[in-house]
Amino acid sequence: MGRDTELAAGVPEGYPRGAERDVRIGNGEVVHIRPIRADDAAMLMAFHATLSPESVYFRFFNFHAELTAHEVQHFTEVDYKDRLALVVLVGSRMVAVGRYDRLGGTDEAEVAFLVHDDYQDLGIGTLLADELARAARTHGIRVFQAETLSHNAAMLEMFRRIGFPVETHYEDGVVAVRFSIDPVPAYREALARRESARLAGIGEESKGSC
Amino acid sequence: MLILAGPVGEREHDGGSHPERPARIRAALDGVSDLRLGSDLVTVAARPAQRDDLLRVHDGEYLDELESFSRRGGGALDADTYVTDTSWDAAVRAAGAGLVAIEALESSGEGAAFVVVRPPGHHAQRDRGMGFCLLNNVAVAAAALVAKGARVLIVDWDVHHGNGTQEIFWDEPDVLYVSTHQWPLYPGTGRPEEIGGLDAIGTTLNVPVPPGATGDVLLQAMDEVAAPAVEAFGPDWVLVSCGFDAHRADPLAELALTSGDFAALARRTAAFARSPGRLVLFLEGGYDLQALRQSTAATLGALVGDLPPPEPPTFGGPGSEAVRSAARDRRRAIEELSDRLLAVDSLDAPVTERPRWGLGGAR
Repeated sequence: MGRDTELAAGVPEGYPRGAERDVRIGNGEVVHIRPIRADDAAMLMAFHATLSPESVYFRFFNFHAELTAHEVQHFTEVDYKDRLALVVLVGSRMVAVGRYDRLGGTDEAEVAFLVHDDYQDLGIGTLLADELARAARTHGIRVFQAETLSHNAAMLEMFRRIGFPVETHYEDGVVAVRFSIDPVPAYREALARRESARLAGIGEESKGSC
Repeated sequence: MLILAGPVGEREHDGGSHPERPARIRAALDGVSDLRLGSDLVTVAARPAQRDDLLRVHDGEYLDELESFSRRGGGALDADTYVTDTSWDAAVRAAGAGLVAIEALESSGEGAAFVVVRPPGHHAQRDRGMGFCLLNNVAVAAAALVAKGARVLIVDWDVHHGNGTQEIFWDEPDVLYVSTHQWPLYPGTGRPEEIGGLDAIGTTLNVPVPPGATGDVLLQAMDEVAAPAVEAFGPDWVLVSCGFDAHRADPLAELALTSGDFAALARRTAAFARSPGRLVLFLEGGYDLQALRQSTAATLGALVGDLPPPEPPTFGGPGSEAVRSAARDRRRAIEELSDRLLAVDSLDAPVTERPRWGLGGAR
């Protein structure tokens, strides 16, 4: 900071600028990840409108073609502590969103992810989980919970590989996933490998020569 | 010889289940005991900092508010930072402990000092506490030295960026603030482009490193980025914001250091001091008690006992590129700001007093 950071118009109070970063994903592209803002509403609706029915079904457990105005407001207006959403952008295009919501008064939060069909299987879900866990830890959250449909193999595989000790509980086609987000050694090692890949060449290209 | 200043906060300023807790002091003291220094260990009690000492780095209004808030029983200062009825007294004694450590080193003329205090300080800004910190202990000590005409290097290897220390000395040419920290992480400041104000260009030095970074990456930051700037600056005193939360067992961060890495960092940092007896380490973060104990022993053992650390140093994690990129971004920011300053100077015809600069600039 040095001096107080001047925030651009549309950037709300408490917006954690330090959570913004550029990383490389599995196809070699560089994406930008940052906390959501209220002025992202139009972008979120456009993102949602181009998802496949399957992606929407896996996220909302029903064919939820359009977000309601209330949902858009709920999803974009967060307090960055008990409720946080992160968006992933390729240029100005939104390709993924992840969020956590603290379960009232506890140190647990529910997490959810939605990655655009064009950008699945590139490590973006894991990126969102890593970044959400870091932010949540800062605010005293210790456990993440998620519900996943049992045939959402990609999401279940993501949880299995992330490095946290994941417990699963199956009921009626839904898998309840629960894990401590303490950075245990297995997680740190997996994270370090992911960070090496995410940072390859970052900071060298966009800044000109020297 | 090791001078131990404190302890402060072994019982006071207790926030219940908060990770910044009184047991941390006992863990650090146990780490000191593990060294079995015998008569090489001299303990000096903390005394409260005077208001004038605090006013060098904090606004009077903030001090008044914090004192009365604590006297009324306290509460939450923000989502992460608490104040209790004993916090004010603990914070003022924590801030005074560094001054006592400096006096003790001045009279001994040798060794190093370890200030074992909490609440920690490096997030505390001029007019607000945050990030578990109420008063900026290392800044109070540095400002007292500057008032006596000294040039002070602050090395901050706590895993979080010391935004408070940076802010307080942003325009102070006699303090060089050097921080390595995880990025991204709380509080979100500490980019390499943050280099200090116009009167103190280059006297803020930030090297952010990614999650998973190992000890070799931080040593690279010290050798390749910090060392040239320190050499150009020429410090009389070296103060360390000595957090141990970059340890791989720490629950609040994701770096991968061991106690052995802190020993290596301590040796590098001690080499920055021009004469013996001018090195003071201030306990900041570190929230795993076992890691805190081991890292304390390893760090101090490297300085005064030359003891082998309990864990070997680490290498091979990500971050080497980030260090090189930080060096580049810093150099570019210094050049840009210096150019702007030159342009301004040429318009104001007679330049009588030029700001001091030239740290790590054109190389």
